[in-house]
Amino acid sequence: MLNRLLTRLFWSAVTLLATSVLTFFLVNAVPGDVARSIAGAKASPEVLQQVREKYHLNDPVLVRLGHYLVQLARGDLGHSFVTDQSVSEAILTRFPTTAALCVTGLILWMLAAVPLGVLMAKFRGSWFDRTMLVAATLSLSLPAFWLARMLQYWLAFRLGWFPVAGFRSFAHLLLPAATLAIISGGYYALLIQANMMEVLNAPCIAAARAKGLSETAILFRHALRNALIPVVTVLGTDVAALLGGVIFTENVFALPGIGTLAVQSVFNLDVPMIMGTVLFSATLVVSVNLVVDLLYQWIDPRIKADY
Amino acid sequence: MKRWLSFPAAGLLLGIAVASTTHGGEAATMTPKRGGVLHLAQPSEIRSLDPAIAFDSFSIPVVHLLFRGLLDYDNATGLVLDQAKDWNISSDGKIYTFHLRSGVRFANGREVEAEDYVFAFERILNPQTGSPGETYFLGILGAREFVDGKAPHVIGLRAPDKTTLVIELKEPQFTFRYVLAMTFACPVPREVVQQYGTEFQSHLVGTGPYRLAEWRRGISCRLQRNTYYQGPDGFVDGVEIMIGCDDTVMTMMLERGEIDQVPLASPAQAARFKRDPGLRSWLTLVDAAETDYFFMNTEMKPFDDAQVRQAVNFAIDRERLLKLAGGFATVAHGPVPPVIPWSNPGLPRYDFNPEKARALLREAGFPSGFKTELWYSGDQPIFARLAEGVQQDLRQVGIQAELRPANFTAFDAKVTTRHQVPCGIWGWFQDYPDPSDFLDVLLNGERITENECNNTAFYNNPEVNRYLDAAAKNLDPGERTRLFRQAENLIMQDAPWAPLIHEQIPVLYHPRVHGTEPHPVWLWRYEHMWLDP
Amino acid sequence: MPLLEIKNLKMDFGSGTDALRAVDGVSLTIGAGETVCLVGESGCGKSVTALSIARLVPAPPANYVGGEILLNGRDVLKMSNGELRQIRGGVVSYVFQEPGASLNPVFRIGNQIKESLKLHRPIGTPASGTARINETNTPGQRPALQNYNDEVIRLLKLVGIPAPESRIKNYPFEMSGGMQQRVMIAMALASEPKLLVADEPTTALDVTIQAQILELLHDLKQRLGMAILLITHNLGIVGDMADRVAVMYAGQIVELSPAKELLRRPLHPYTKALINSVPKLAGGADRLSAIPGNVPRIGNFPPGCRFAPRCPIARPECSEKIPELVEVEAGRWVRCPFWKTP
Repeated sequence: MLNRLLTRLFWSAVTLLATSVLTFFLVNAVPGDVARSIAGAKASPEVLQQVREKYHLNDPVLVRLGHYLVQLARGDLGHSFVTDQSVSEAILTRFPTTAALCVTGLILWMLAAVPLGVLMAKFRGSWFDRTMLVAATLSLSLPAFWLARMLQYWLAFRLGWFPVAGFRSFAHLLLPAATLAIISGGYYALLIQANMMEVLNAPCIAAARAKGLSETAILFRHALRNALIPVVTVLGTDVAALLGGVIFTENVFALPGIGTLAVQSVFNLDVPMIMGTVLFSATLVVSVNLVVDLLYQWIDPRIKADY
Repeated sequence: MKRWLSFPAAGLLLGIAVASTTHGGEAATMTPKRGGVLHLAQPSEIRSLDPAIAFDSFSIPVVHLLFRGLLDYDNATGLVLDQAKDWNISSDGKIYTFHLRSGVRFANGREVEAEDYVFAFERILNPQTGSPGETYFLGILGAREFVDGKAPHVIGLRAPDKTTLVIELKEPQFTFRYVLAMTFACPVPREVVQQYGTEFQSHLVGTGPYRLAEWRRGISCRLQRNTYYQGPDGFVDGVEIMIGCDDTVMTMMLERGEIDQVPLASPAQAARFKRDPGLRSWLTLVDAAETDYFFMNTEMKPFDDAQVRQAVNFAIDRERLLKLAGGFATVAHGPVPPVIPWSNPGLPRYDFNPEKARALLREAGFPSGFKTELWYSGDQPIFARLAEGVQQDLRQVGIQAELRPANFTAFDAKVTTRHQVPCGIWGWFQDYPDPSDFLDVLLNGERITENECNNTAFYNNPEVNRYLDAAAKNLDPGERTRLFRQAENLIMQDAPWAPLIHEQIPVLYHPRVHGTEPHPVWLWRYEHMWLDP
Repeated sequence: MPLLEIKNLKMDFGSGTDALRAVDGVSLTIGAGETVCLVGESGCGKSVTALSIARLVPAPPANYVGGEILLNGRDVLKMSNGELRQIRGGVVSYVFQEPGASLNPVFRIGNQIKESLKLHRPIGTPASGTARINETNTPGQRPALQNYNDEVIRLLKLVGIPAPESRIKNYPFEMSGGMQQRVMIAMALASEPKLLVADEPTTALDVTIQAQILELLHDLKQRLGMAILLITHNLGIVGDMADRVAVMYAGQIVELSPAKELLRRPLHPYTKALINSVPKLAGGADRLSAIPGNVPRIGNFPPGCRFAPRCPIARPECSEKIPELVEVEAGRWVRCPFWKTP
């Protein structure tokens, strides 16, 4: 098992390396004088020259890439060109916001999706199922940006039930989390429904019923547990992607998370920050995939470790 | 100051503006009340609050809360003493002597000394700091040598005793006084700066009415009353600044009372407030001392011909451009905005006259017009709209201008390089309320360089240059006005530019905020604002 | 009062004009402690009948159109959901054909057995029912349940699983087919049912394991005194296990007899054919004798006697009217007027 684990780690590292190299080339291909971004438009030629030297901006791209990778190997993500703040510090101070948003959203949408999916499977074909099917399909088709704005405009601005933007209290997370929940909730409800329908036809469910278990216990303990197994992998990658920054929702609600950081850094041509946020996101996705794979044995005991 | 921005901060303004037009005036008899917290918001990250570095119009009013210096402005463009108790300029105009007020302390409790001013100015000049304000201090005797590393100190900066500061210039420079009122000229505690080095950003200490309590980069910034400040300013107990929301969200938050000010509302939002009788009093229009202009490269054909340039000036319908700017602007007839204040009755006027434009073009040898490229910074929507308007006007007289938008940094690099760009649109905000800031900085032929040249028209008229140089050294306000008027008239005859508009900044305030009168230089003064209890 | 009385049960799949009759007038009685085998080929309706005892057939599409199922005197078909949940496990337990599929793959077997215990024998309640279980094999009062884990271990021992203490942590896939079936039996017994319905419990297992499981069932029956309804299509196992046998064909019972009598001297032509088709090791039959034709599918029953098309002694009048199930000798019922024909 250790062997396989090490192999997985190796390939994960390769993925991350490839991501950083590719991103580096892409970012450096954008036209615009990076020295100006750093020094500000008013900077004198001397200052600009100094900046170019300090950040090796005159060196060829490959040399700069080399410098960056060496720095990366030391665990140093560099400093923002705009604020001179340490990139890792910037990411770490903003990560809790994104994480809080994602976790709240996750809880909301699973709280909605699980019962819905189960009930939709149980009452397949009924008016309930049909209505929910339409609702779920609708909700997952909604563009995040539009939905966020709508919720903000109607529920926060017009009705005043929620604060409009910012992150001063937990209440500020509710609408953004609801945005995530509405979009993902529909998707997961359908996913859970599909899996549940398959599981409900399995012999072990009939056997459970024969034991005298209540329908609730059968649905939510026996069937759901099996139905959720494939859902967990999807959930893992979804959450990892979200943790890397929920760009539209954070932007609309002015939440100081990784998403807004990433967008701002792109517009500012803040190269270290762009690299930092992309790498962070990539690392999250790769790690979560790895963790889900490892956890899979625990989640589904039939998967004997091939490791 | 060039119009520069980082998305989505549209419009960095440090200009001069007179009192607004539509501000629902509070009765002057209301007494300010102390207390409360002012909630502000900014669309993008505050780059720096270090007085040596901060140079955009969202940061400056905040820096002004934390740092104060020798001089400040009164409610208009007059200079008054702030933390100096008197000052004196020698008769040759080169030596400035200041005596500091006693009892002025930094936020850490230490009393300010003249040496702190010397330290601060040398810090600005020090290339390591990378201060955008370096150029303003180069007029000091010995500054150049200090910058080049040939001298350990600036000989023109002296602190004979703890409360006396002497500044000697190389040559008399009328506008130097304005430099001393900028946030660049604020003292910083030298031991703190030396202790923290670049981390001073996070440990700012100044003599302003507020101190920095907390700064979560890119997220929020919190200021609290500086208990050592003894001046009259500062009514609210604290200021909280939220960073990173766009203009729509800010306006919603304002209406909901979550924030107190929307600095720079979009024209659409401003129009909405203007139309609504219940909201009209929330809107304040600040006349910006800035000019948006269409420049023509006098070193590139066909713009090397003055007739062509004049034709362009006749071809542009400036009234129509006002509408394109959303209605919040005034027509610009010359480079210098009237608001600083400035008037030039003899200025040649180019009224909208396409016939005349075509005639001039025929005379110049372009009966069927010509093709050219019109460059502009696509990051700011106003420039895009102006560019399209100008393009349409030019087409009417046969000039086919292909639009070339670029992002700010690329644009900046391109237009300031010689022989690159035939024509384009740009804007300039004042650094201080003096005509030289427009005419000398942007249109003096002696300032032309191969790169990073502010004179994007590469205009060089020796007569104009002479007027401008004379005005720079002259100390008599009346004489200077005469010289500048001469220069401006010649410039408009030669027409290296077609000045377009002077923008107005719509600012929204929540009714519970008072003391929101606009200011010519600072735009708004948070230290004068107070809240309903 | 007998433990189970199925009276003239009629059940359709679907309703209205699309209805297909799956169980057509089945009557069967099981007394306490009796073992009855329900024999027939696949599709004859034996499983559906068995499942109906605890109303486990999903309805819809199942549609009970006639008859009663009296369990301890109460009609299952009229019970509420709550009452049904009580009798499931509490009175009648099931053991299914594929133990691997019937156990929930993601729960440990110990927990699955515990689940039954928690449902039907909460801690502190005294033992009930006729399933008297103690090691000395004498009927007597059993002390109340103190500890689930201990009981689970005891049940596993009872069904012959070695080293039960370590086994309780196993997942079903970690056990062989035979072990899994033992676990299912343990799970079925945990709730102390009065009737154990085993639906083809050994069909999916190897022959040697089959024998073990059957022996286990036999042994448990002796010790615990519970009734067993054993569904099978394999006549071979009937002799050792059953007290009585019911033979089903096309939704109807065609013969009902004490086991030994049936095997020694079958009366219905179908039964005879079934017995003949079991290959005999001794005695030189050169060819397997199969019953010609196919079992009629539901909805496609022939008129009259449903076996007539394949019956060696069929006469024309057989196809006119469905014969009645008649007691022709003491305790022996047959649905064929010509049963005497050799």
